[in-house]
Amino acid sequence: MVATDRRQLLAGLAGGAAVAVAGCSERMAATVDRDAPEQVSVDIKTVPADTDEVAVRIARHLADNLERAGVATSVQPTEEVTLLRDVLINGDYDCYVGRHPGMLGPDTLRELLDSQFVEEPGWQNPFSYTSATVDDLLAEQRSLGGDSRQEVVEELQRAVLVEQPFTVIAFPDEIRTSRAGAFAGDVSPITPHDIARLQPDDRDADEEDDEVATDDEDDVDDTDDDSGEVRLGLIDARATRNLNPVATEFRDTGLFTGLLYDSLAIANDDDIVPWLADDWEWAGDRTLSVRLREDLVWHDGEPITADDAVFTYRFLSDTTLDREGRPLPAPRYRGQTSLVADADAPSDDELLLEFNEGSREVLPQALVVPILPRHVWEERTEPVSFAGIDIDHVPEALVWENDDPVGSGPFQFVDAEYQDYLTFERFDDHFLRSGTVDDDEPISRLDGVPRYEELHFEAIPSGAAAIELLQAGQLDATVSPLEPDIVRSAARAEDVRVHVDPSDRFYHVGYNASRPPLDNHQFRRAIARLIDREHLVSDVFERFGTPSVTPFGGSSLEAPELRWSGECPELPFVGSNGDVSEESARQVFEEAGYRHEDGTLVRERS
Amino acid sequence: MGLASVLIEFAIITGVMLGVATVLFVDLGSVRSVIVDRERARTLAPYAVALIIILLINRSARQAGPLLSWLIGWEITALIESIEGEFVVWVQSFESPMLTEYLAFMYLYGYAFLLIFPFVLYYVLPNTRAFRELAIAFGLNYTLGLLCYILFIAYGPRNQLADVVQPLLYQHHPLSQLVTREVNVNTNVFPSLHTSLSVTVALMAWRTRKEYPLWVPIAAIFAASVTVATVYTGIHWVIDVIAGIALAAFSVYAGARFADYRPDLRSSKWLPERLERTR
Repeated sequence: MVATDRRQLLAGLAGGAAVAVAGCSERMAATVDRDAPEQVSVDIKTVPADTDEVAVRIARHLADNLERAGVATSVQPTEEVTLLRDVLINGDYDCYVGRHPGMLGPDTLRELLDSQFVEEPGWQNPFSYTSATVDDLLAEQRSLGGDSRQEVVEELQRAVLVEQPFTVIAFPDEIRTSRAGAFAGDVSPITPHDIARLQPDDRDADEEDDEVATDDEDDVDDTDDDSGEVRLGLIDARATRNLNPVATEFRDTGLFTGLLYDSLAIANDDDIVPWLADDWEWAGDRTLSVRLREDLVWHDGEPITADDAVFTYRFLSDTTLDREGRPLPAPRYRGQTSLVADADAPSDDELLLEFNEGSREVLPQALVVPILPRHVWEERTEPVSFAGIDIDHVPEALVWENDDPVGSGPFQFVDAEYQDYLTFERFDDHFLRSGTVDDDEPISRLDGVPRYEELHFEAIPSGAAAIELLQAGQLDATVSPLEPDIVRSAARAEDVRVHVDPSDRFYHVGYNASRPPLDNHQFRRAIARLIDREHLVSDVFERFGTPSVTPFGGSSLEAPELRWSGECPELPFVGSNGDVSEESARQVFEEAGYRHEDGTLVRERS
Repeated sequence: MGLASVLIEFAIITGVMLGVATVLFVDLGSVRSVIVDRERARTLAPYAVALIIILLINRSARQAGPLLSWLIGWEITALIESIEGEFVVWVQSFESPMLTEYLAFMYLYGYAFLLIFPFVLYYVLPNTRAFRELAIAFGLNYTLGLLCYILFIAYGPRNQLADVVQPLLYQHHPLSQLVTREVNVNTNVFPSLHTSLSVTVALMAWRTRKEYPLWVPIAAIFAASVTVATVYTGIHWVIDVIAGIALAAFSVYAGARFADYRPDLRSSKWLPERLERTR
């Protein structure tokens, strides 16, 4: 638009060269060389309602209010994998509405916001956000523990709230359904361990008492009975297309790769507890010695050694294994791998991890990454090639579908059909099944599981379809969270149980700080004042969620003064019941230093 | 899983409609002579085979199509929304349970019936021309439709206007989505193939009004109902419907124009050749 104005003016002048030369004055040069004001436009990307109705409705709420402020806004529904590629890999967006994959602790905030990650793909700084203050606080919390760390974490939350690299909206309660009587106990299949723990409701009362009371060793024998297959419904069927644990656009929490792959340790409540590792001890200031369990094998029968773990840490830190000269880290697990300086295997069952700076509270988180078989993945570190042409900047490992995965997890891959289904079967050589978990281990409650021989994941179109399939006995439970408005009909439906679980996967609006005016924190703060969290949670989440202004909402890490109390303490909504008047919407942008022309928000400098 | 039982129900209902319509419209006495007519089968086989190949390509492109589309396609959902706004919301303001049931029936079963039955009608006509025209028109609908689906990425109103548009069909018949998603994906809404194929059948009914005068109003009512249903259910934008009608008009025109063209393999040229007006 600006270019055209200038061109038109020049074209007019070109009518006569003499006029142009003679008439050229400082005043004209200054006029021609000045940009005309242009309307500010912001595109909001999100998934379609089939994938996540809540996200679309948040995006539309924001778009409506931005329009009122005179900003040209459109909501662009985008298929989930493409959306995540746009946001996480290519940075091709203005704003997006989505869910974070979940917080492993305060250090996840470092992954999300540290400016050292601006050039990396994945959930590490997808906002291109840079702040010296925040960087310092992020580094500080990593080196601290206990109360002093908490103080820094609270200060971080205040700083992030002020600068708004992203706007936290709410923590949803996730809704799942199961067929009444399908399972023993009240287990929602949220994590891989929940799925491993699913048991059919077919035991008599005695056994049930045993199981609950003591986790008796006999249970291993009792539960050896094969329990056939369990049929689980998926709304999000991306896993039928790709099972690569480092393909960030296909993974959220890593549910499916978590069934197929084991990590050295798992996060259990606020603790990191041994999993593939038998135990670990500090062998120096920043050196951890990790001993593996005995007789571990991959799904293809090869033994698992410390060498595989060394390979995994080197691979995740640089997926080209040093071949390119510049490291190309895996886009997932970056918070953890950036803690590790080096890995070494003195013997087949001992791993030495050398850490960068960090406190002993933070560092063991590095053990929570999937261990990959070297004999499968090493050859995938070469550049990918199509029709004989090497694509130098992409190692195959990052784009590989991993369509016949070899892991070591409690389940192994059987087959999959694109956007249709996925079948896993129990891996009986897994340490959970071989009865080698000691009674005093934190994970001993998982001993002897899983009981189901086969997991059959089916793509289902909607929550409404799930209810009918559950009632028809063609489905046992849903794994993907369902749309909130399904609860009323699910609660009325006979033989259907509704599970409501809090989730740390918060909804947020992310801003691309490399695209003006979104680089200006005042502009982002103005946008944040157009979001009515209370209205969204009551109207869109149907009360299944909690508004929050920080990524640690509702947890013990949350700064107490930021706990939700009806409105955002820093950036309160400027309207009521979800609506803002044009006047107040415009005012927040004018206070931020912007101005309107004929009702549209304009920028002079672009 | 649930798909099999839904498909069986689908086949039974559509089958009954086809059976009843055949008894009403077709002179059953002449059917025997039509069935044993080898000449007719030879004339029409290339058209039927070509159409089946196009349908199979359409089906196998179900995975590659959307992937390719996201790489090279033009995202037009927001553009469509900015042009027609919330017209679909107005259409849905006439919502009633009876209307929803009627239009859902038409969208699912009426549509399937409308696509299949004309082939029965036109196969038993003494002149094979209508059958050939219909096959060409259908083939063009699917081919140009698939091309548009690759070039344009658009989600329907139920996916975009989630706060104001209800997914009426899938709310009331959740399992029907098991069938519709086998046939199509949710980014393929521009143009509406439900509209274009239904309107194609209605236009063809008008072209064969002398042979089947009673088929004209029935095809028209079915086509109009299916077309309204695509918008009422929140599946399509009005712009998809308009594009669908344009695609139908073009396809029927092209069918009429090219029904008499035959490839002459010996000269490897396409030459016009008037087919025998006898059978």
